[in-house]
Amino acid sequence: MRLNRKIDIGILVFLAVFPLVFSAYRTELMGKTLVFILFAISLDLIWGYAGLMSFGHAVLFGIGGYIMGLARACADGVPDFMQRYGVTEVPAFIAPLQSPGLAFALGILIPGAVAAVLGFFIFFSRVRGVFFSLITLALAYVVSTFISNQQQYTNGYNGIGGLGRVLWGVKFDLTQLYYITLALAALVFVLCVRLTGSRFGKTLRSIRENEMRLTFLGYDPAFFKVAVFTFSGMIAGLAGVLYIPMNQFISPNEAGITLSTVVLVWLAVGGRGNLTGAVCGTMIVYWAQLLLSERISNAWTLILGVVIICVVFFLPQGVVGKLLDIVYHRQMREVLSSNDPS
Amino acid sequence: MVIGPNGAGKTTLMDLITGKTRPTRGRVYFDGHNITGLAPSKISAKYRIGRKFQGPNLFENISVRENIEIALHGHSTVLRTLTYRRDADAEARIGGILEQIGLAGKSEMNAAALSHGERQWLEIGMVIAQEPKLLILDEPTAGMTVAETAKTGEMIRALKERHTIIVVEHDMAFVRQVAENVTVLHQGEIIKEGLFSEVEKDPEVIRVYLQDF
Repeated sequence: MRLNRKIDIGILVFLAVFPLVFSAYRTELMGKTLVFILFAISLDLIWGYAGLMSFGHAVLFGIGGYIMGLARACADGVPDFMQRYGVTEVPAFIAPLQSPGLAFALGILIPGAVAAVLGFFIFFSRVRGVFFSLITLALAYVVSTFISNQQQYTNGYNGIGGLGRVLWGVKFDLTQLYYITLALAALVFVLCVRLTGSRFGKTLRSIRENEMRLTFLGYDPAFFKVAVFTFSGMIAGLAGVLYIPMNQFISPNEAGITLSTVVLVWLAVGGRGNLTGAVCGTMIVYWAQLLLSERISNAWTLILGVVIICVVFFLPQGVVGKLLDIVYHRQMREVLSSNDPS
Repeated sequence: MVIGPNGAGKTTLMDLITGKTRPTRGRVYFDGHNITGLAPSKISAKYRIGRKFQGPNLFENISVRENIEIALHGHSTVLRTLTYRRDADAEARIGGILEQIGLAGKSEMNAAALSHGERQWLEIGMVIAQEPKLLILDEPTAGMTVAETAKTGEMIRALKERHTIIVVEHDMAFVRQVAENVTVLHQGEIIKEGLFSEVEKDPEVIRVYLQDF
C-alpha cells in the first residue's frame, strides 16, 4: 500500500473519533473542516492532476451554497430580509428549491453544469495556462459582486443566516450532521482515488505534464478537461451544499476571491496531485489559523503567513508531496542497486 | 529515410503529415485518405500515424510504465479511459514493449530520471504502443553514444518487419545501417531519391549536404 493511503486511513480514524473526544465547539469546527476538505479535493482534481490552476473555484462552491441557503431561507415562506426589500412571495426561481431533495440535487448539478459550460468555452477555445487562471479570477469577482448586488434575494454583503442544521428536510443535531458529512466526504474521497488511479486520471496527469504530446497519441485534451472540470464543479457544489447546515450562514465571501485563494494555499501546503495533500493541507492550515488566532490576537496572520511562505519555498511539492518523494527516491535506489550486478 | 541539411524542411514535412502544421498549399494523402489539416489527435487515433519527436518529448513526472500505458492504442476517448482496466493483455503488451526498448528494469522510475538515450528509447516505445500503420521517427539517435545508436538501429530494423517507417536522420553511419530508400531534401525540394548507395554518389547531394561528412 502506498504511504499516502496509510495516511488517509489514519486521518479517517482520527476524524471518526474526534466528536467523541472533543467538545461540541471543536466538533463544529472540524465539521467545517470536512466541508473544506471536500472543496480542496475538488480543486486538486483540476489543479493537482490536470494542471488547471483556478483562481475562482469558490464560485462553484458558492453556487451550491447559495442554492442550499436560499432553499433553507425560503423553506417556511418569504424570509425577513426579502420582505424588507418588498418581496412578498417566494420568487419563481426559488420555488422549486422548497423541495429539500431537489435543492440538494440542484446544489450539486447546477455547479456541475456551470463548470461544463464554462469548460466548454474555455478549453475548446484553447485557453491555456495563466489565461485560464485570469479568467477564473475575473469570474470570482463577477459572481461575488453579482451576489452582493442582488440584495432582495441574497441579502447582499450581510449574507443569509439562521439557516438551521437541516439536510434533506430533516433536522439533525451536530454529531449526526458531522458523521453524515464525514461519510459523504469519505465516499467522494474514495471515488476520487478510484478516478485518479484509472486511465482517466493518468490522462489528466499527462495533460499536466505535456498536453501537446498527448494529442499526438490520439487524445483530445479538451474533452478530458471539460469532463474533470464538470466533475470537480459537482464536488465543489456538494461542499457548498453541506456547508449550509454545518455553518448555518453564507455570505458572498464564500463565492468569491477570498475562499478561492485560501483553498489554493491549502493545496500548496498539503501538496497537489495525490488527494491526501488536499486533506492534510486543509486540516493543517485551517486549524493552525484557528488555534493561533485563539492564542495570539493580532500577530497570528503574520506568523501563519511566514510559515506558509516557508513551506511553499522549501517544500514546493507540499508536505505530503515531500513524503511521497522521499519514499519514491528510496525505492528507486533499491531498484538501481538491484539492477547493478556488482 | 529523409535526410538533408539544416533548414531543408525535414521536420516541417513531418509536421504536415501529423497535423502539427496546416499546409498553405497542397494536400496530404495517407492510405488513400485526404488528411490535410486534420487535428493531430484525429490523425494519430483514426489514421494511425505515430510520431516520435526530435529530442525526447515525454510525460516527465510519470513512470516509464505509465508513459507506455498512456500511449497504448485504442483507449483515447474519455469513456474508454474510464472503462479501461490494466488486464493481462495490456500488461503483456506493456511488458513486451519495455523489453523491446530495454527499459524493463526501470519501469517504475519517472521518465525524468532516465538518461538521454533511454528517453529517446522510451519515446520510441510509446510510438510502438500506438500500433501505428506509419511510424515517424524524427532524429531518433540525436545525442546518443555510438553504442546507443547501434542499439537504436537494431530496434528500427526489427520494427521494419511490421511497420512502415519514416526516419529523419543526420547520422550517416546510422542511415547506412538501416536505410532502404533515402530521400534528400534541400530547401523544401526533393533533390534525390533512391537507394543510399546511389544517393551518396550523386554530385548534387554531395554538393549541398554530404561534403561535410
